[in-house]
Amino acid sequence: MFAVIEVPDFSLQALLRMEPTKRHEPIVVLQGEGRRALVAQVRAGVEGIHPGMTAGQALAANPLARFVQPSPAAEREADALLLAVAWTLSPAVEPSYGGCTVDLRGADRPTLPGRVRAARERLIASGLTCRVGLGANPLIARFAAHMADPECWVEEPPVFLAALPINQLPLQPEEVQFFADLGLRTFGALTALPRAALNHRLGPRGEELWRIAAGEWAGTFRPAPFPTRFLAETELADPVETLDPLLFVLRRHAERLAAEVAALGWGIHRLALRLHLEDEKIYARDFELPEPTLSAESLFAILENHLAALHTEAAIVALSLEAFSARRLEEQVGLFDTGLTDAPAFFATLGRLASVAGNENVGTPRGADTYRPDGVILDTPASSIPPRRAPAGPDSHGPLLRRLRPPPPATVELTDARPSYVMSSLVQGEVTVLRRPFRADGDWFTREPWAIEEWDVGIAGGLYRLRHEPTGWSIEGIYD
Amino acid sequence: MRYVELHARSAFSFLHGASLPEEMYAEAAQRDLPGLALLERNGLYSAVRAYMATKEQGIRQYVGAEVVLEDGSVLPLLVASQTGYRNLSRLLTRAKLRAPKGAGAATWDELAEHAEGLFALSGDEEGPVRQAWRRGDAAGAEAALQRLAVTYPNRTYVELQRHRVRDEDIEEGALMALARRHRLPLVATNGVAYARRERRQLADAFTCLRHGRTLDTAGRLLARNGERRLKSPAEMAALFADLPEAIESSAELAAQLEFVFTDKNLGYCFPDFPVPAGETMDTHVRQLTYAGARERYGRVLSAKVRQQLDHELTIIAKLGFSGYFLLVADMCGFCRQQGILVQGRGSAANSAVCYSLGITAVDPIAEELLFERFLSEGRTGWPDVDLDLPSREQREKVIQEVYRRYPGRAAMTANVISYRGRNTMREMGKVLGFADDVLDRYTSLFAHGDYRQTLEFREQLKLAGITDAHPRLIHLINLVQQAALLPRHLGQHSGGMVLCAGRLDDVVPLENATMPGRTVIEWDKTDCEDVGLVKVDFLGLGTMAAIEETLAICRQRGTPVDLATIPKDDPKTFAMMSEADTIGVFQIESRAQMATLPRFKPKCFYDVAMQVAIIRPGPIQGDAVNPLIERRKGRQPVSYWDPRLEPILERTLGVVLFQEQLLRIAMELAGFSAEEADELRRSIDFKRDNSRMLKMEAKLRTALLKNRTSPDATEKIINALTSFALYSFPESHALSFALLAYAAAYLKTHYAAEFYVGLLNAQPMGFYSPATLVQDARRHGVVVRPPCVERSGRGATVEQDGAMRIGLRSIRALADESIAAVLAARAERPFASVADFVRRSGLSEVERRTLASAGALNGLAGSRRLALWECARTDLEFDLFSEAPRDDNSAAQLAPMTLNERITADFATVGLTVGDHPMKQARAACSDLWRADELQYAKNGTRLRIGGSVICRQRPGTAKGFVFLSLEDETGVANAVVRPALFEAQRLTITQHAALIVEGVVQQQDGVIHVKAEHIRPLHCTDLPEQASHDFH
Repeated sequence: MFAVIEVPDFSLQALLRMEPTKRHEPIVVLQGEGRRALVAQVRAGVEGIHPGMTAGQALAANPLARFVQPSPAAEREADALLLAVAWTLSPAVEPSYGGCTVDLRGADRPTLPGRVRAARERLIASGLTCRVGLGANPLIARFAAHMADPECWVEEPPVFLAALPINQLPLQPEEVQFFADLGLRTFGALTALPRAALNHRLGPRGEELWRIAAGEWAGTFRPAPFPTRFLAETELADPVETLDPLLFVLRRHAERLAAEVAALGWGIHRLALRLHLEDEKIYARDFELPEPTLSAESLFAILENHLAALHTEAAIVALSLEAFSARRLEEQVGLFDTGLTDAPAFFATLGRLASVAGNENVGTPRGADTYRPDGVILDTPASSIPPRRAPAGPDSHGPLLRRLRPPPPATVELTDARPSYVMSSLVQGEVTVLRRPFRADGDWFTREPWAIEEWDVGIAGGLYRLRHEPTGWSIEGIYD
Repeated sequence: MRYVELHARSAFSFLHGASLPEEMYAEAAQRDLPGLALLERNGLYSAVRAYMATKEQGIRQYVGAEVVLEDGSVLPLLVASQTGYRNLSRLLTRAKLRAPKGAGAATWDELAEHAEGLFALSGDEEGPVRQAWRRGDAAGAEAALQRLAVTYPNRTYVELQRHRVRDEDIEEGALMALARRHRLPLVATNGVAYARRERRQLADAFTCLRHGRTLDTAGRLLARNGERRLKSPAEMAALFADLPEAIESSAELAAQLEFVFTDKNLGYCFPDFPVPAGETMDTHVRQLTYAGARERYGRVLSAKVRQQLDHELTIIAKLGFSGYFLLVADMCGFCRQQGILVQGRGSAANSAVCYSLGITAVDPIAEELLFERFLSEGRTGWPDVDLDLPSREQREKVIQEVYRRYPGRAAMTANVISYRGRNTMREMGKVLGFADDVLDRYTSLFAHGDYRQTLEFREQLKLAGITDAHPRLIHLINLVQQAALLPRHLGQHSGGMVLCAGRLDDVVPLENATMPGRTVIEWDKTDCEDVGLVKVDFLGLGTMAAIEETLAICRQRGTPVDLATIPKDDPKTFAMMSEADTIGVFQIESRAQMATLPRFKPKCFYDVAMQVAIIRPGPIQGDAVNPLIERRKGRQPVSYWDPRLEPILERTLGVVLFQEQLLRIAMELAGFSAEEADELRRSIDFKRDNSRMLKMEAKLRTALLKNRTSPDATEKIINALTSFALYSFPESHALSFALLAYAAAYLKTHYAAEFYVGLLNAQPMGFYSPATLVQDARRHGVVVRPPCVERSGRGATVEQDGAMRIGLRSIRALADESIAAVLAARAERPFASVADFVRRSGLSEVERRTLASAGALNGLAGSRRLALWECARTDLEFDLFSEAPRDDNSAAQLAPMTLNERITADFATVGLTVGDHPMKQARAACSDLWRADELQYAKNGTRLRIGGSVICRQRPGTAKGFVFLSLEDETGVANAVVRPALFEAQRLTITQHAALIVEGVVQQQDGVIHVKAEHIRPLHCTDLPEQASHDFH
């Protein structure tokens, strides 16, 4: 006997499982992009909208509808959970999109209903409602799952199959049209036609469809290997600034990782948490556990305690949580490796530095693609240093500028809109040499537009760069 | 210090500039620049607009272009002489004609070949010199400059630009060193990309569009600052205070650019027409005119006719237009020779010469039309003759004949496509990084080109989900407003062709159109008119194709009809018009026309012309519609604002309906000369600039008052004038269209099957889909039969018994070659079976299945299901020698299609059904809905519900935001009127659903019935197929 576990409206369920705030919203999942997007799945209770409608029609029917695209990350997470739970029924599980097939041959028949129910309930507790079909082969079990509410045990396959609607067959769009044109609406109507006649029309594919409709399984069962890495990742649809939604997602991840590791009979001894922030920074933290555990609650408690005291400068847009099992092999450092010899220690030190200087002030600077002076982005330090590249274009000319940080403010007297006298803590005096203003501005489309004007000035024998911004004048640097 | 800006671009550089030429010259004048050169990217696109702008602003226009070279660098060239202009135009043409539309790059050899009369600048950062230098290739930079100096000896300038960017002095130093080494003069320019600093944001947005980036990701692709604006000589002198010779140099260089862009200096001449020996064009046109007149008016011409012809011929000869008339008449002759229906429209119909030469079909003498509306001695521009031709293939044949007769001397006129409406919002929204779902929502909300909105733009955005609090809202609004009406790309005019005596590319650069075999000039029709390029319009008219086809079928069926001799007073035809039974009838089939016809009740041909002219924005805004109808019905006395108007407005019962009437009023009441009247006409026609109209309005008002017209009458005349600027028909134009409208109505009345076949075969055209036309045909007693591989032709046909047979062309997914294959196989011998059909036609599986589904194989298989089953056999194609046996009795398992399934299949495969309208099937489920034909029995004010497939959604600009819906059911078409507020509230329901239920109150007036909508909801019927709808056009 085989069982098929299937999650209806998989994209929608996967999404809502990770984003509890959307649970009460009229969520509609679209398939396709742009104006050709069609409604694929609709949250129960959303009135007037049916799969197949265009987005415009759906909006007309229910102006409150909130459209979302399927979330690959949420679906990956749901798939992993499904697999982990299925392994509690049998070690032989074949995954499929939004479901899986479980080989129950050799299972103890009398206890099976109870175990199936327990697996379903575990999924429900983790936010996935599923249907389970059980039949003599994976094919019949799959059809049974389609019709299940929430379970369907097929005892008499011919009777069960004959009544199935033809759209339960895995048809290509043109085949759907072909059968609709012929008025064939059930498996029974299809198998009433001679097998050879179908072969004459659709070739081997016709015969294959006939066979499927008759419940003849000719496939190969390919059980999934147990995972070697236990990683959960989520991209949040909306940036998260409060703790609750974050904890909700982490709880889901902890549950799944614990279930996955449990299926292998191992324990979790270390967790690695990465929070991706809206300002493109990453907050990273590893947690060594005193001893391996499989308790999702314990794992969650560790995370919760840490996060309760954490303050990030920007909202969180994505996160990942990786569990390391007790038997995981360590990475071997290469003989000529020029990278970090003790990366965790290095990053732990960085983490401590960040807690003093602020996350936004720690990292490897990289010039941002902007004309804004000092426009840099701080990257997470690389574990090895790339070779230096030669700058493109002609070499720079002229004297070197020693930049002053912070630039000392200056008071500047203007004559004919040009600096004529400068007073600052660094230098004071009449401008004897003056070189044209240089202007740059940008980001006018953001909340932080900027504009600067720079003058090269000679004062008291020295050469300085003066900067004028809407906030005032400053000495940008000294030419050596 | 004199400074001339010699390197600037306008928005006609397409995403490389952000201001219109007019703005550039206005700003240049404001900043005391004595001259400005707009060097558009790879073209002379803005030359004429710049010329017109300089006339206004009084500053000097310099001509040139930024020529794209093969290595991607851009070379600025300036025109010094007429030869230079010719060379630049030829160079651009050469580069572009070997490239697809929008591309083209010149080689160095071509530069050398076309160098005479041109000056070269070394270019900005995209120039060949600086590009090499920026790559770190100093030798390459020097080589490029050297090559320029050799190509343009003593005419190469090293260009310096200062945009207040740090380190630009380093590059400048290198350029100056190169200039010194090669003894080349320096010249300062500002590489201007927009008139004022504010446009810098739009320029940034354009940069993003060019690179397919958003503003957030464009980084250093964006401008560093806003210094690429126009600067005054004083600003430039200050900027180059250390290098005054570069400023002086601009004026010195400008002084050498002697070429002045004017209509006279372009060297354009209309082609001479070859005439027999001993004849001149004047004598030849006279001879042909009189010969034609004898055919039109009879052998003996009346004195009135002769007088009119002589008058016109004298003016034509005096203006030098004889060749033009000969050429147009010759093309009309070609059409007739080829059996192509042709008819001149527009003001040419005011000319008895045009009528005699066979260019137009309306007798202007009989209709008392004003020749001066067409031509007068005071006229400065060329006459405008538009020829209507059957659309598509026939028209293309004529256009290709013009290309053949005038190789290199003819090309299509351009059509400038501007940033407008939803597309601008979409592009600017994308640039600003707005999410696709927001932009999609906006597009859905304001679908179908419906952009004449009652809501402010900010409110529209709010509906789409962009609230007032959105940080980028203000930028979106600014960008959309700034981009509005700027050129986006160049298309081709619907039919305008420019002809030239010599090489056309001496006058204006040519480029390839997207359509194969077509070349386009860089200027639009207004530009052409402004510089005197003569254009002949070869316009495709769907109705001409339909009429031509109808007449051909009538001939084939032994009942030939001659358009010239059909009775003009046919009571049945007028009765049909009066009942608004005009679906498919040119010009009078729209909802608005149908709502007026039962009130207007045309009784003669001139009434049809009035009917055609009355539903136009001009007469509607000018409040001409109701007075005219009320006066016709005798419910309002005929009166005139001034007694002197009686002879002018008598035929239109005191109402100003036509442009000619306005011109005559100007001439007779205000004492305008023919020249002034022509200027008035041009100001009415000229949509681009409202200031012309305002000037004429003031002039007319003064003249009317001076000539003893009462202030009240004066204001009413002025009001009519301003309304006419919105859009109205000349009388001659209305009469030409009325001829076609009457002919179509006559054919519909008397040759219904032939007429509908003509219409179907001319699709797409008109207001209604084939599905609606077929239902209309059925209501007129025409038996309509489905497509059939044994009987159908390529298009629809009329069968022996007078029934209409849908053609194979109507079947979707059936390629033209496949249709030809079916017809060829059938011509050999009839198909014996489905197997025989499959084997001999060679159609693909999809095509076979579509035919079977459409019922086109029923004759061979017995039913659609059996045909589908049979033709799906993959072994049939290869079984060459024997009739394939029915492989089993499996087909017995297949149930026949139900009626609903058949209708669904009809719409899926042909887009129409020859049976009952689908609403008939749906009726049982919605029996509370009134049928369209029952509405006539509803009392005024009755509250009821109607429902059906939406076949038309209209929101005319003159209707103050009201929306008109046409719902088709099995009995006809019902109309609903939707208030603006209701439309806004239910915009998506109304625009997105193919079938609607409208609840409201019936309004009846003079037989015109509308339902004033109060509630609207979708009509959900499982089996109601989606029909095509004619929306917001």
